[in-house]
Amino acid sequence: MEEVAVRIARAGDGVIEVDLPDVLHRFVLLAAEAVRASAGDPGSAGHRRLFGRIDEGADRDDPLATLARQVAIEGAGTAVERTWRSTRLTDDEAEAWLRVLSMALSLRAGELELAVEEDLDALDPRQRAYLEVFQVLQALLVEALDAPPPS
Amino acid sequence: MRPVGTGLGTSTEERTGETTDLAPPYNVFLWNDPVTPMVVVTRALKRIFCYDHDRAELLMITAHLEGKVVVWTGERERAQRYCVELGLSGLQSTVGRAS
Repeated sequence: MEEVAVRIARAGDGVIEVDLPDVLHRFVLLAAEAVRASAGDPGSAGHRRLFGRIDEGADRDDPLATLARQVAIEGAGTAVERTWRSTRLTDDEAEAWLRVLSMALSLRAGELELAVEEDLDALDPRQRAYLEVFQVLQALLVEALDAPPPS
Repeated sequence: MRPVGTGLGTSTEERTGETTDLAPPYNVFLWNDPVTPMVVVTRALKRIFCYDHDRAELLMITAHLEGKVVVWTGERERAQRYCVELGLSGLQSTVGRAS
Protein backbone atom coordinates (compact mmCIF):
# COMPACT_ATOMS: atom_id res chain seq x y z
CA MET A 1 0.00 0.00 0.00
CA GLU A 2 1.34 3.41 -0.88
CA GLU A 3 2.23 5.58 2.08
CA VAL A 4 0.22 8.81 2.22
CA ALA A 5 1.78 12.02 3.51
CA VAL A 6 -0.17 13.66 6.30
CA ARG A 7 1.81 16.56 7.66
CA ILE A 8 1.07 20.09 8.85
CA ALA A 9 4.06 21.91 10.29
CA ARG A 10 5.62 25.33 10.61
CA ALA A 11 8.28 25.82 7.97
CA GLY A 12 11.58 27.65 8.27
CA ASP A 13 10.10 30.81 6.76
CA GLY A 14 7.34 30.89 9.39
CA VAL A 15 4.38 29.81 7.25
CA ILE A 16 2.47 26.65 8.00
CA GLU A 17 3.08 23.99 5.38
CA VAL A 18 0.29 21.56 4.59
CA ASP A 19 1.12 18.22 3.03
CA LEU A 20 -2.11 16.29 2.78
CA PRO A 21 -3.69 14.04 0.16
CA ASP A 22 -6.39 15.67 -1.94
CA VAL A 23 -9.10 13.79 -0.09
CA LEU A 24 -8.14 15.52 3.17
CA HIS A 25 -8.04 18.95 1.53
CA ARG A 26 -11.56 18.23 0.34
CA PHE A 27 -12.47 17.02 3.83
CA VAL A 28 -11.56 20.47 5.16
CA LEU A 29 -13.71 22.12 2.50
CA LEU A 30 -16.65 19.87 3.34
CA ALA A 31 -16.25 20.79 7.01
CA ALA A 32 -16.51 24.48 6.11
CA GLU A 33 -19.56 23.84 3.96
CA ALA A 34 -21.22 21.87 6.77
CA VAL A 35 -20.61 24.67 9.26
CA ARG A 36 -21.90 27.36 6.92
CA ALA A 37 -24.92 25.26 5.98
CA SER A 38 -25.86 24.79 9.63
CA ALA A 39 -25.23 28.45 10.39
CA GLY A 40 -27.54 29.40 7.52
CA ASP A 41 -30.41 27.09 8.50
CA PRO A 42 -32.09 28.42 11.65
CA GLY A 43 -34.41 25.43 11.84
CA SER A 44 -31.67 22.82 11.94
CA ALA A 45 -30.24 20.97 14.91
CA GLY A 46 -26.81 22.10 13.76
CA HIS A 47 -27.88 25.73 13.99
CA ARG A 48 -29.12 25.16 17.51
CA ARG A 49 -25.76 23.63 18.41
CA LEU A 50 -23.77 26.47 16.86
CA PHE A 51 -26.09 29.19 18.13
CA GLY A 52 -27.30 27.56 21.34
CA ARG A 53 -28.45 29.78 24.15
CA ILE A 54 -25.46 31.22 25.95
CA ASP A 55 -27.19 32.53 29.06
CA GLU A 56 -30.14 30.42 30.08
CA GLY A 57 -31.00 32.74 32.93
CA ALA A 58 -31.48 35.78 30.72
CA ASP A 59 -34.40 36.84 28.54
CA ARG A 60 -32.06 36.86 25.58
CA ASP A 61 -28.37 36.66 24.83
CA ASP A 62 -26.32 39.77 24.36
CA PRO A 63 -26.99 40.82 20.71
CA LEU A 64 -23.34 41.78 20.32
CA ALA A 65 -22.25 38.29 21.38
CA THR A 66 -24.69 36.74 18.94
CA LEU A 67 -23.50 39.00 16.13
CA ALA A 68 -19.86 38.28 16.95
CA ARG A 69 -20.58 34.58 16.66
CA GLN A 70 -22.27 34.98 13.27
CA VAL A 71 -19.43 37.11 11.92
CA ALA A 72 -16.74 34.75 13.22
CA ILE A 73 -18.40 31.65 11.77
CA GLU A 74 -18.87 33.36 8.42
CA GLY A 75 -15.29 34.62 8.45
CA ALA A 76 -13.79 31.24 9.25
CA GLY A 77 -15.94 29.52 6.63
CA THR A 78 -14.98 32.04 3.98
CA ALA A 79 -11.28 31.75 4.83
CA VAL A 80 -11.37 27.97 4.53
CA GLU A 81 -13.32 28.01 1.28
CA ARG A 82 -10.65 30.36 -0.10
CA THR A 83 -7.65 28.35 1.12
CA TRP A 84 -8.71 24.70 1.26
CA ARG A 85 -6.40 23.76 -1.62
CA SER A 86 -3.45 25.69 -0.17
CA THR A 87 -0.23 24.04 0.86
CA ARG A 88 1.04 27.11 2.68
CA LEU A 89 -1.07 28.89 5.28
CA THR A 90 -0.65 32.00 7.36
CA ASP A 91 -1.36 31.64 11.07
CA ASP A 92 -4.75 33.33 10.60
CA GLU A 93 -5.67 30.90 7.84
CA ALA A 94 -4.56 27.92 9.91
CA GLU A 95 -6.62 29.27 12.83
CA ALA A 96 -9.63 29.38 10.49
CA TRP A 97 -9.02 25.75 9.48
CA LEU A 98 -8.81 24.74 13.14
CA ARG A 99 -11.94 26.70 14.02
CA VAL A 100 -13.95 25.20 11.16
CA LEU A 101 -12.79 21.65 11.90
CA SER A 102 -13.59 22.09 15.57
CA MET A 103 -17.10 23.40 14.88
CA ALA A 104 -17.74 20.71 12.27
CA LEU A 105 -16.63 18.02 14.72
CA SER A 106 -18.95 19.49 17.32
CA LEU A 107 -21.81 19.37 14.81
CA ARG A 108 -21.03 15.75 14.06
CA ALA A 109 -20.94 14.92 17.78
CA GLY A 110 -24.35 16.53 18.09
CA GLU A 111 -25.75 14.52 15.20
CA LEU A 112 -24.43 11.31 16.76
CA GLU A 113 -25.70 12.39 20.20
CA LEU A 114 -22.28 11.93 21.75
CA ALA A 115 -22.39 13.35 25.26
CA VAL A 116 -19.98 11.18 27.22
CA GLU A 117 -16.99 9.00 26.40
CA GLU A 118 -19.06 5.82 26.71
CA ASP A 119 -21.21 6.95 23.77
CA LEU A 120 -18.19 6.44 21.52
CA ASP A 121 -18.35 2.71 22.21
CA ALA A 122 -21.63 2.49 20.35
CA LEU A 123 -20.18 3.90 17.13
CA ASP A 124 -19.33 1.65 14.24
CA PRO A 125 -15.71 1.65 13.01
CA ARG A 126 -16.50 3.93 10.06
CA GLN A 127 -18.05 6.55 12.29
CA ARG A 128 -15.10 6.38 14.67
CA ALA A 129 -12.63 6.67 11.81
CA TYR A 130 -14.50 9.70 10.51
CA LEU A 131 -14.19 11.44 13.89
CA GLU A 132 -10.52 10.51 14.06
CA VAL A 133 -9.83 12.34 10.80
CA PHE A 134 -11.04 15.55 12.44
CA GLN A 135 -8.99 14.84 15.55
CA VAL A 136 -5.77 14.15 13.65
CA LEU A 137 -6.11 17.33 11.59
CA GLN A 138 -6.91 19.36 14.71
CA ALA A 139 -3.90 18.00 16.57
CA LEU A 140 -1.58 18.69 13.63
CA LEU A 141 -2.87 22.26 13.32
CA VAL A 142 -2.44 22.90 17.05
CA GLU A 143 1.11 21.57 16.96
CA ALA A 144 1.97 23.70 13.93
CA LEU A 145 0.36 26.88 15.31
CA ASP A 146 2.07 26.46 18.67
CA ALA A 147 5.48 25.84 17.14
CA PRO A 148 7.66 28.89 17.66
CA PRO A 149 8.34 30.97 14.56
CA PRO A 150 11.93 30.80 13.31
CA SER A 151 14.23 33.29 14.93
CA MET B 1 -23.29 15.52 35.23
CA ARG B 2 -22.83 17.66 38.28
CA PRO B 3 -21.41 21.10 38.95
CA VAL B 4 -17.83 21.26 40.01
CA GLY B 5 -16.92 23.13 43.15
CA THR B 6 -13.28 23.60 42.35
CA GLY B 7 -13.22 27.34 42.91
CA LEU B 8 -11.02 27.67 39.86
CA GLY B 9 -13.23 30.35 38.31
CA THR B 10 -13.63 32.22 41.56
CA SER B 11 -9.92 32.62 41.96
CA THR B 12 -9.80 34.37 38.58
CA GLU B 13 -12.42 36.82 39.75
CA GLU B 14 -10.51 37.51 42.93
CA ARG B 15 -7.27 37.95 41.09
CA THR B 16 -8.51 40.21 38.32
CA GLY B 17 -11.32 42.06 40.08
CA GLU B 18 -13.65 41.65 37.11
CA THR B 19 -16.86 42.21 39.05
CA THR B 20 -18.43 45.28 40.57
CA ASP B 21 -20.85 45.74 43.44
CA LEU B 22 -23.60 46.64 40.95
CA ALA B 23 -23.51 43.51 38.81
CA PRO B 24 -23.60 39.99 40.20
CA PRO B 25 -20.80 37.82 38.89
CA TYR B 26 -21.43 35.26 36.20
CA ASN B 27 -19.70 31.96 35.67
CA VAL B 28 -18.61 30.58 32.33
CA PHE B 29 -19.10 26.83 32.42
CA LEU B 30 -17.14 24.64 30.07
CA TRP B 31 -18.84 21.31 29.41
CA ASN B 32 -17.00 18.12 28.70
CA ASP B 33 -17.37 16.65 25.27
CA PRO B 34 -16.06 13.25 24.30
CA VAL B 35 -14.63 14.10 20.90
CA THR B 36 -12.55 17.27 21.03
CA PRO B 37 -8.86 16.42 21.51
CA MET B 38 -7.43 17.53 24.84
CA VAL B 39 -4.76 19.64 23.13
CA VAL B 40 -7.47 21.62 21.35
CA VAL B 41 -9.33 22.33 24.61
CA THR B 42 -6.16 23.32 26.43
CA ARG B 43 -5.06 25.59 23.61
CA ALA B 44 -8.47 27.29 23.47
CA LEU B 45 -8.37 28.04 27.19
CA LYS B 46 -4.84 29.44 26.91
CA ARG B 47 -5.74 31.61 23.92
CA ILE B 48 -9.12 32.89 25.09
CA PHE B 49 -8.38 33.48 28.77
CA CYS B 50 -4.59 33.92 28.57
CA TYR B 51 -4.17 31.15 31.13
CA ASP B 52 -0.81 29.47 31.46
CA HIS B 53 -0.48 25.90 30.27
CA ASP B 54 -0.82 24.26 33.68
CA ARG B 55 -3.96 26.16 34.59
CA ALA B 56 -5.58 25.50 31.19
CA GLU B 57 -4.73 21.83 31.38
CA LEU B 58 -6.13 21.52 34.91
CA LEU B 59 -9.42 23.10 33.82
CA MET B 60 -9.59 20.82 30.78
CA ILE B 61 -9.00 17.72 32.90
CA THR B 62 -11.55 18.85 35.49
CA ALA B 63 -14.20 19.28 32.80
CA HIS B 64 -13.26 15.91 31.40
CA LEU B 65 -13.57 14.15 34.75
CA GLU B 66 -16.45 16.06 36.31
CA GLY B 67 -18.59 16.92 33.30
CA LYS B 68 -18.23 20.67 33.55
CA VAL B 69 -16.06 23.27 35.19
CA VAL B 70 -16.16 27.00 35.85
CA VAL B 71 -13.46 28.47 33.65
CA TRP B 72 -14.04 32.14 34.36
CA THR B 73 -16.11 34.35 36.63
CA GLY B 74 -16.87 38.01 36.09
CA GLU B 75 -19.13 40.49 34.41
CA ARG B 76 -21.92 39.21 32.28
CA GLU B 77 -21.24 40.67 28.84
CA ARG B 78 -17.66 39.53 28.97
CA ALA B 79 -18.76 36.08 30.12
CA GLN B 80 -21.05 35.87 27.10
CA ARG B 81 -18.25 36.87 24.76
CA TYR B 82 -15.99 34.22 26.25
CA CYS B 83 -18.77 31.72 25.75
CA VAL B 84 -18.95 32.67 22.07
CA GLU B 85 -15.19 32.22 21.74
CA LEU B 86 -15.37 28.77 23.28
CA GLY B 87 -18.17 27.85 20.88
CA LEU B 88 -16.05 28.94 17.95
CA SER B 89 -13.45 26.47 19.17
CA GLY B 90 -16.07 23.74 18.98
CA LEU B 91 -16.57 23.66 22.75
CA GLN B 92 -19.89 23.64 24.57
CA SER B 93 -20.21 26.28 27.24
CA THR B 94 -22.86 28.27 29.07
CA VAL B 95 -23.10 31.30 31.29
CA GLY B 96 -24.81 31.23 34.67
CA ARG B 97 -25.12 33.48 37.63
CA ALA B 98 -22.49 32.71 40.25
CA SER B 99 -23.98 31.75 43.59
